[in-house]
Amino acid sequence: MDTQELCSMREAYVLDGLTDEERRHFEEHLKTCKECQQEVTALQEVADWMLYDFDEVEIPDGMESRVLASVFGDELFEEGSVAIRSGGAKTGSAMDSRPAVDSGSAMDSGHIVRIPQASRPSRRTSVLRWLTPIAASVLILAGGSAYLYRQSLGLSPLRESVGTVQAQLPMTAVTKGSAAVLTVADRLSQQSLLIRFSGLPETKGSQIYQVWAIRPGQAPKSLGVFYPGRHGQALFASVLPKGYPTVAVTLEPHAIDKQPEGKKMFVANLT
Amino acid sequence: MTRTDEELMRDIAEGSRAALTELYRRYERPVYGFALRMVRDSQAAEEIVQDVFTRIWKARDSFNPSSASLRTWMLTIAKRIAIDYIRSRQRRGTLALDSEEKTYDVPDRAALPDEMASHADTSRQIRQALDSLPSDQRIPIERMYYEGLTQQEIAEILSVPIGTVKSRIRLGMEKLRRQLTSVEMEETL
Repeated sequence: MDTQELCSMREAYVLDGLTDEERRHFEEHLKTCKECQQEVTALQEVADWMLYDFDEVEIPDGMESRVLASVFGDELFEEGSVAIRSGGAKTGSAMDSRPAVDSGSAMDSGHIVRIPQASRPSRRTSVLRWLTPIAASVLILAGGSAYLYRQSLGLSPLRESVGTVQAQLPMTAVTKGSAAVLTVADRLSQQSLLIRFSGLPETKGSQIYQVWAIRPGQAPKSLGVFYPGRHGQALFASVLPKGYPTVAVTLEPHAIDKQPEGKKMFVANLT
Repeated sequence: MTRTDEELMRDIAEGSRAALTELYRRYERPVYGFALRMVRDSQAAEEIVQDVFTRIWKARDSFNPSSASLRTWMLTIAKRIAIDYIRSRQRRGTLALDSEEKTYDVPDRAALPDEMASHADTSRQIRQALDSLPSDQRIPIERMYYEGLTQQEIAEILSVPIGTVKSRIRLGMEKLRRQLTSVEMEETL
């Protein structure tokens, strides 16, 4: 590329209209071309100005709660990479992942819901979508489809389709008085796993419930963790990875254990 | 007392979730509005907002918006994420490349709260400036900037030589620059 051609790329450079290769060439040229440096600085002001060509619209109900839960929750749910400590200066519970906006009363009855990505196509493979009190999240099965109704911050309930129900079965409980019903739903190319719990024993100290997908001959795969609500209820949702015939729930002594160490509470065979 | 953006960013760098929450509340509306303007899909726009704040949170130790205002910096991040989204959507063939004009939901101005008024003025000035351009200059500028098309792609879509695209964009940007300068002069008088 000759100098004249490179100088002709100024506008496209500030408007992000160059290919990666063109951009690299232009940025090399920019290091030494005083005229382009001046022009790009001036043109960049125009480009920055154009960032403000939008209308400030009303934001969707509950967006703050969902976004902040994801921002803070991703840290805790990057699988196996973060240990939630207990006791001491950093109070160790997954409730720490609750966005600041949700602090307060929600802490009393809160639990964690991992919303499956099967609900819509997404660039993410695993995202904690939002955290809500148990009373505010309801799984509805209707007409062969599964829907999650959620209510956050006193706003109108939102319905999220989880997909078509493929299977529903009770999980075998190890502890008397507790129960869990597992639902598998299909949407797009993914399977969603939803488990509704009741009568769960309270967690103590750093204990936390953890859900695992199990495949013979391989290490269990963590699907996430949760706390039960005030009355031992919880609703857990996650993407169900392919090729795992068994789902188990354990009561772990510490959160986000890479391998199950705690007592097995429920198990279900999906085949 | 209201903390400045710089104070908030300093607290965020130290890991304060409360500071990020405050920053979010300060900027969710413009970031969402801009994202929606780019992708015209409310769910995708929400994901872009989520990505913007996730990046800020994850890169809080190295935050350096240089000379740009925080708002401009955040919108620039949102734009890059939105362009990635648009390009992936184009690859999937769900965005018509040959559509000359686009529409997206415009809110009822009467329903907007007062604090949006100043932004609405700015937005109107920019829109007027863009609309004042001849369409053969405005369209390639908008498609490049808001849709992430390269000059080569625009040349193919418009069936004109790439040199024509460059000259139209150059003329249009020069006019926008003069208009921006005149707006700045009016504001300082």
